[in-house]
Amino acid sequence: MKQKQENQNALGQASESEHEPLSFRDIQVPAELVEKGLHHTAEGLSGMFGRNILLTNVRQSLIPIEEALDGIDDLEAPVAGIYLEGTGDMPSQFMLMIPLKMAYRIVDTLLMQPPGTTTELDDLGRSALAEVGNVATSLFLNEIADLTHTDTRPTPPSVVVDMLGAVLNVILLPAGLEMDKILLIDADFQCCSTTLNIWFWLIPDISNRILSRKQEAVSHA
Amino acid sequence: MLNPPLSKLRTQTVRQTESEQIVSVGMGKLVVTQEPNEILTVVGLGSCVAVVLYDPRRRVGAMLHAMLPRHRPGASVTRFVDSGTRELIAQVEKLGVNIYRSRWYLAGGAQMLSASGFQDTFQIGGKNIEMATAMMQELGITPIATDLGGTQGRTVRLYMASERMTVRTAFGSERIME
Repeated sequence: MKQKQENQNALGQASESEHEPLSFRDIQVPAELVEKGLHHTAEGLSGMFGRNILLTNVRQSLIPIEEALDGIDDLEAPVAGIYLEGTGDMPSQFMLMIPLKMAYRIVDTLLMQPPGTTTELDDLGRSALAEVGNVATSLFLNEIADLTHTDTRPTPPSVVVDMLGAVLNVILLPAGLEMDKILLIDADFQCCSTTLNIWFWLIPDISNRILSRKQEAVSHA
Repeated sequence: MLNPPLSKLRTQTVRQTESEQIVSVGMGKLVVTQEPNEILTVVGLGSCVAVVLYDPRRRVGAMLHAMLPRHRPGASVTRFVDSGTRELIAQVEKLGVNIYRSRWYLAGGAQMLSASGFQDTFQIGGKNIEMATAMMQELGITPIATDLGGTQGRTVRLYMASERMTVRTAFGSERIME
């Protein structure tokens, strides 16, 4: 039986939430659904870059939030992070992370500049990267929305350049406000062997029960 | 901006010796040590806050890597600035530390995103700073040095051997906090 409670989240703000133990099975997003969404993203990025970009790895795990950064080798590595939130029926957070030097190459490609032109991110460069995040996330969300008959949209993207660990704070801390465990979906995209590495993190809001209801709808379809 | 005056931060690297061992303090974790060869470290501190204590008499060091300001019942105490600081004090006092004769440092609480529309994300760094400074005031403690706020991530290290606390921002050099 669901128990409705009025409580405070970790920022001290009043929030109303339904507490019921969730198992991984309850909240796991069907792998097939995620992969379809991510393949759609890869196709969109391929079109954007004019190169064949492949989805090389997808992982899905339910982990204590304190362990989300465990096992990451270089949390000090400079990266460009492109952050968006999914709004509507399936609230979620997205972060695309690109090694900073790789981000410069992407900006050169998108702005049709000779390789090596970009050495720091100005407004135009940030805008170009934001567009990468916009395309990647919109295509993923559109595919998921089509498959689950839900209404979900991305917010405008925001670009942050910093240490990898600090960038991941952006996506992890809001989740920690109300959750002890997060459902983390991360994926790698590659192009031309190792010349393009994009690391994609998705954290669905598992405190929202719509996800599991949609899973039921999909599995019964 | 809550960053300290530059005079409070000396631009100087503390060299790690071969015998020293880096101990990574994970997100939402607290590490207390008496090992003189350890370097307590938080790498890539963004909106999180590091609350650090060093007692030169007992040679005890403690580093809390707190994610959020206010404790939520049922969650780990060391995830939060308020309950984590109390836990830090409880643990070091068991080792005979007098918290009023120790050196305290605060670092972190950056605002990592600057676009509108991500209100919760924005508030967290600032709220963490508010809670950390409120805890210090409540305890009647003035930190030796702070490096708070701003828009960049940080790496902080407490060198037990040299009794130095350092901070390095993204794309910057390591500086001693004093």
